Amino acid sequence: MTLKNALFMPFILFLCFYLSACSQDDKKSMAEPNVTDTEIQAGRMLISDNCSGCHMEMEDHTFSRISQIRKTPEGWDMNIARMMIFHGLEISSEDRKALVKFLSDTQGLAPSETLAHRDVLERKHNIIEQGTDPDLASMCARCHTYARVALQRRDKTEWQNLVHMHLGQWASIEYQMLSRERDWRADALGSVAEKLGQMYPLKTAAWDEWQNTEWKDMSGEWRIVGHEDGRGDFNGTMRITTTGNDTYKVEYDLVSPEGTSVTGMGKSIVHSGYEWRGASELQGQKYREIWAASKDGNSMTGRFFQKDHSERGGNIIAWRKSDTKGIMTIVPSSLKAGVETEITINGVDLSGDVSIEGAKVTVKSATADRVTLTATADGTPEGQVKITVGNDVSTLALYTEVDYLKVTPEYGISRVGGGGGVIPKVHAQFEATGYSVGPDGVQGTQDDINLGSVPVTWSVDNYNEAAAAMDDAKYAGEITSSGTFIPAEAGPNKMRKYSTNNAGDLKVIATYTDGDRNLTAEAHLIATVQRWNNPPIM
Amino acid sequence: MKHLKPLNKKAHLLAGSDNTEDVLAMQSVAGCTTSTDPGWEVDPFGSVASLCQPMEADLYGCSDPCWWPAAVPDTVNTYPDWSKGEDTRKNWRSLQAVFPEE
Repeated sequence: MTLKNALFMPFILFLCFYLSACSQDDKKSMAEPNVTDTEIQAGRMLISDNCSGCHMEMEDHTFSRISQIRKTPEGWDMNIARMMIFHGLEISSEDRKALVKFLSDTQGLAPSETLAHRDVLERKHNIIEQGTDPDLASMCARCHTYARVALQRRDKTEWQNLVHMHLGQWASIEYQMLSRERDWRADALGSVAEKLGQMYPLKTAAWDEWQNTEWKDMSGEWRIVGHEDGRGDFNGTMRITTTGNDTYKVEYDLVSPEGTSVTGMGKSIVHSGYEWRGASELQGQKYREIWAASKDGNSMTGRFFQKDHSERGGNIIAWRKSDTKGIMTIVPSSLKAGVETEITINGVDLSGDVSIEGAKVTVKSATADRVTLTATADGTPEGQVKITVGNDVSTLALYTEVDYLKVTPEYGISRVGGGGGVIPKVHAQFEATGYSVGPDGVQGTQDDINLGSVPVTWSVDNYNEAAAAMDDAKYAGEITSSGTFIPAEAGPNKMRKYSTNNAGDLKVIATYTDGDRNLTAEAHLIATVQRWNNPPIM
Repeated sequence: MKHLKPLNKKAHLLAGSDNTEDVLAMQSVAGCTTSTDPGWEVDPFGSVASLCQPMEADLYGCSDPCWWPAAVPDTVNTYPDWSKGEDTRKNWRSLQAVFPEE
């Protein structure tokens, strides 16, 4: 080798190394096609820095008690919080968020794996979990939601480790109701862990498939429609701009349920390729968003709620304008015969003639996003009829009168709060939906027609004699004209018998008036005490 | 009670009292003990009448045996100092939420 070559070779070697390192930066991992090798190395470093004091790193680069579990972003966040509370983990807010991001991307849940429990994930208030395995309900869901379990994936051994953790941490677990009647420990470590391992195993085809699906960038112009509970329907647009690493800036331009213009800004992060978590501020009100993107990345659904009152919020549907077309919502969703009604059709890329079967239509304004019209129906036909804009078709309910009401939720809970304490009041929001009995004239049959929200007056009363004896309706709180029950203040109330709390067992009554007719419907409301442990998955 | 006989002075006083029905203390309805699991938010009858209320008067009994750890911080292992030194009937306002948001 000449001196010239000897000097040149290190440069060539350095260049090769540099180019190799550069290409690695953008290289997608073989095991995690949507995550780069650099991100994986950074994530492992985060775990090593924050967790390896207790969680051992194995030869295959897995970490004990971490790599054997998959969870939602909220599930991972609660895990980190638990390490802080139980074991004194000190972690920066930045590292906590970065760990949640990394673990959700590499050990998350596929969309199909969260589908059955999104209500709880979205912090929807006053829902009753359905379809829960009775054995698992008595074992797990007597203290917390079943969703907290069903939104995890572990093999049997790891489920058993979770049982040991519960028994070590909460020793009276074996003596509580639904435990003491059985050999709790044998059941929990045996048949229950076995069942959980079979129902919710670590490795699933759904997660493998989702990891091998291209996770879409959410940037673009979007159409958004939604319903705020107790207030009404809104619609508008949002411009989503990437800020890197699956984070986005969002500009909102909305029309409120009252018809006013509302603008605002937000920022979000997308975990696991589809779990949109947003924070926004509209007219001074701070909101949080828990939405899920579709597989093709062209639509999102989910819930928004007030930052300080997660029970106050509503649902949204969002469509990417560049890749979708059609009618999204019709507001209102029903038309009464003989009453000229203004109707708004919200959608994407709307164009063409507008018609409603059985109604005379006058278009007042039309854009690609929104058509506003007035419509008058003569009462025939009755029921769900076609509404069209060009080639786009949806349905609208035609009716002659509201036959009966339903109040939702049928069974709701509010919680006392405030009064100088740190826990805020938890409100309960009720809505009244009108129904037509349909062609068969019989209430409660399949041909009944949902007419959407109807205006009602609201009142509360004692639910039963025990509630009347304690004057619950007097002390527990008040309901507003929009169906929001605002509970009374926390703390013992010296005005009440035994200085009891301002809890109450109430019925919520909605009254709909149409001329001389009054229709009523009731729901059950438990106005109860506060809770001090409020993790994102209850 | 007819098979039980008072043995000490306090028991004699109690046996002679006409007000034994009033010893319902801080409960809306009798029968509220941990062994009957009244529930935290809702009682076994789907109501609130059988809950231990005001709960501030019995919070130790709720938090110390970690009876409802998902709602009330357990003071055995997890949050030993949560209500330490507090007379929660008077100082319930100082009780803090426990989930660390940040």
